[in-house]
Amino acid sequence: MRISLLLLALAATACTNSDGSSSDTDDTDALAGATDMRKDFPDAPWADPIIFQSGVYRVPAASEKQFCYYTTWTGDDTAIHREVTYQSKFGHHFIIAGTTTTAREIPDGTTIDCTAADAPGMDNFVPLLIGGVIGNGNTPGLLELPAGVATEITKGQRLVFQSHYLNTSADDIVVQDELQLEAMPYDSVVDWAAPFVDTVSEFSIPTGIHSLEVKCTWDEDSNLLFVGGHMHEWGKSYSIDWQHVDGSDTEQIYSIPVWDPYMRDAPVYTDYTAEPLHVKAGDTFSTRCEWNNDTGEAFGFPKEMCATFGMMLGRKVPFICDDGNATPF
Amino acid sequence: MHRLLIACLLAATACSGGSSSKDDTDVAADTDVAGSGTGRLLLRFTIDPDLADVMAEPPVGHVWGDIYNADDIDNLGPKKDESGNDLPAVLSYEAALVDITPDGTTQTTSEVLFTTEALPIGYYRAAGFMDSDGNGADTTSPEEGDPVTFPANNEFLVLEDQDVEAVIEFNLLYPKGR
Repeated sequence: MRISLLLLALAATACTNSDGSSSDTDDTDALAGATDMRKDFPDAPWADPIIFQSGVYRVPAASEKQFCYYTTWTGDDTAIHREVTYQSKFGHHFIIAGTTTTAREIPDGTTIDCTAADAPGMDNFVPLLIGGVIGNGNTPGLLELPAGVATEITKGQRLVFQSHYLNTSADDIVVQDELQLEAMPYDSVVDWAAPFVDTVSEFSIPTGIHSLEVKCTWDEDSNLLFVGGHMHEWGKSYSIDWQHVDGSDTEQIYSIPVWDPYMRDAPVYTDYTAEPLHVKAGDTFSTRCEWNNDTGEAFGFPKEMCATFGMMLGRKVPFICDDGNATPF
Repeated sequence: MHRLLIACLLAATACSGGSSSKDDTDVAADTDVAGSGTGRLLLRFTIDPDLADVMAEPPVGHVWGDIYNADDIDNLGPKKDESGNDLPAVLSYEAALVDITPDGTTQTTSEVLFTTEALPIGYYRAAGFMDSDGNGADTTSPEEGDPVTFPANNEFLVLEDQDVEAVIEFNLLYPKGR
């Protein structure tokens, strides 16, 4: 049985954003004078794919635009094993995320121009399918968990699909993205994968260059599939050191020497799916975050964040570590 | 009253959302009939069996919490007023010896254990925790491992002259180290 959930941002009505760009599906006027970059994407190589298609978006010439489409997962709790994403040319990323924004605040079926970091709902994203490689207009994105492993999307989960485009051409373009999910029967799931996050929520970043080291100690032995870092647009650099409880040498497992603002919503992950990173109870992750606060005033969480996160094998419930242990370095 | 500052980037498996018997009718009062403009919430409690499964003790204990206007709190806690102070809760609630131990993999929901006073019609959110290890009476604040709510996932609509059952779901265990 084919399970296709085709989400079109517009069923019958046009949606025009304040700057004249359009996320209209069928309006001929919206397509006029634009180069149609839409294309047929490859069929998923597995049976019964779950397909999400974004709205049809128009991106003005020589501009950057980001669109966020909100909806709710109305299906049953579903075990997800694999995700593939496709974008039209000039696509920078297309991601699916959870959100704590309620349907009352942003109703299902709403597309928002979320180019600005302070657009409605942008502070409420939560990681949903963590890991893999974020694709773009030239390369598909891929998250594939090990054989028999799945992560869960639950009934009622609110979702946001974010399409980011950098149109460097001299023409307006019309684009559309697609996401393909592979679900597993629950009785086929050998092991679950769940998110973890090491973070700190009580800190202040003064103006200028500032850094913090955040330590978090693992509560039990864990096998990690993906590890990534999260800051917002004032981030400057990011690294993670792994300090072993047995006293062996500290290892640096993650380093972003030059942070790019796009990493806020399109993280860079270290992939350990071939050989999960085994951390022991008592091991510590030491995260170092550096920012350049050029706003003229101090700020803290959640305007900026310093959060190491990823996916653990063998757990169904997230592990959250926020021990308030953040010191300048 | 205690406040919950839940710094969390995760909502995936832990947050299947609270539920209620609210409907989608317009919150505005029927102008043809003079109603009270208020209604009540009847609080029930539940927890995802997967979350209960990883608790150090069964999900049994005293529950403390606050009800906020929905726009005054998010999953990071109460929002601030112009002076930088937390916006206040509308009311506090508590319930003794709440037992929501799942029946195997079947989620258990308690009976109505608390009835609010009459509230102006509109949307409200519940913040709260269960003192599952029996040591929260002094502080009425959660500690590591206590089940707590995501307020944004526990939003309810008060309807005019109605008692609305509000099932408050504990969405995660209070993070390590806080």
